Amino acid sequence: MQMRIRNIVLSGVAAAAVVGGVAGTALADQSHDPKPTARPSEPAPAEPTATKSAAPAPRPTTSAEPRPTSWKSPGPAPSPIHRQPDYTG
Amino acid sequence: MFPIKTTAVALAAGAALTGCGPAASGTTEATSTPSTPSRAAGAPAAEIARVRGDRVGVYAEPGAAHRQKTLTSPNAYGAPRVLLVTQRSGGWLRVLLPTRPNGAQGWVRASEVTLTSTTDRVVIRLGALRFAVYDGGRVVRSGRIAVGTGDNPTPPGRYYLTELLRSPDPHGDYGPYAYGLSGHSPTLKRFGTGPGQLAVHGTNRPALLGHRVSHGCIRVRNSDITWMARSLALGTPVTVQK
Repeated sequence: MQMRIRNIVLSGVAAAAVVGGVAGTALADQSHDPKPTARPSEPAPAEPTATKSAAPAPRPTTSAEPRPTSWKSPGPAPSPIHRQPDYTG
Repeated sequence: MFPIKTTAVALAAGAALTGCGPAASGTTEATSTPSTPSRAAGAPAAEIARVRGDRVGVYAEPGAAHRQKTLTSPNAYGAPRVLLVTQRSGGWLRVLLPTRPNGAQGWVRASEVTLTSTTDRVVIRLGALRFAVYDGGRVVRSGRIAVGTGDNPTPPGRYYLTELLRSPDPHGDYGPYAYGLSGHSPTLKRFGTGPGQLAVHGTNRPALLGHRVSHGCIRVRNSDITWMARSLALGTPVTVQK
């Protein structure tokens, strides 16, 4: 019985370590691949340059609005398809 | 890669739409007019519908008895089918179609797609011969472009990215990458074996950037298209301005 409890505890620790590892990987991926900013040699056109303010509250889950489909993260940029383009060039 | 903050902002934007949209009619606009100051902080993100199954029916109006057309997924290039959402009505989404004529729209059942969103957008300025990529109201990348000639112009309009191709020859005409657009040439019904589809791609002749020399495609520096390929999701809006 004591052995069994210890196994459960150890399993829980192992699972937490795995979850932590995954989260750590996700954070690392973001940190070493940031979105570049405009190059100094090419100043951005005179467009709105306001920075983002704090995001409003999350989308309410009790809204009466139809929720036809689930939302999910757009994820990373798409994996390119290795194929000869046939665009107008 | 795609920043996680994008999702948070998008979800918040969805809440904003719910709050200020014409709820009485059950219809909301999915995006604001690009390139306006109101697009800055807190502005709605663009909604992108990704087809769940192997096809999606397109209807003239919500609840219509007969479908106008069917779009397959993946598309002809093998990319997952994405559609840019322009409006909602109940369980239906109005989407910009990747078909002729440019700007064509139709309705799809929301239950047949998965929604994602992005605060990114690309603006092409034909007059200035420059592009700019925005994240919300902030320019995150800009550069020179080459566009179509007078005989084969790049048509102004609202489009979105439909697929990302990696060219077998990174030193060829298309450079290392090409993003297909949802629009088509107004003059070329066919080009090669393709349907005259527009694209944003690199080039092996960077000296021609800043000129009107293409058949309608938008050419950018190879470094710019490589950056885009690492940054922009399929479905990202592209506005071509005069």
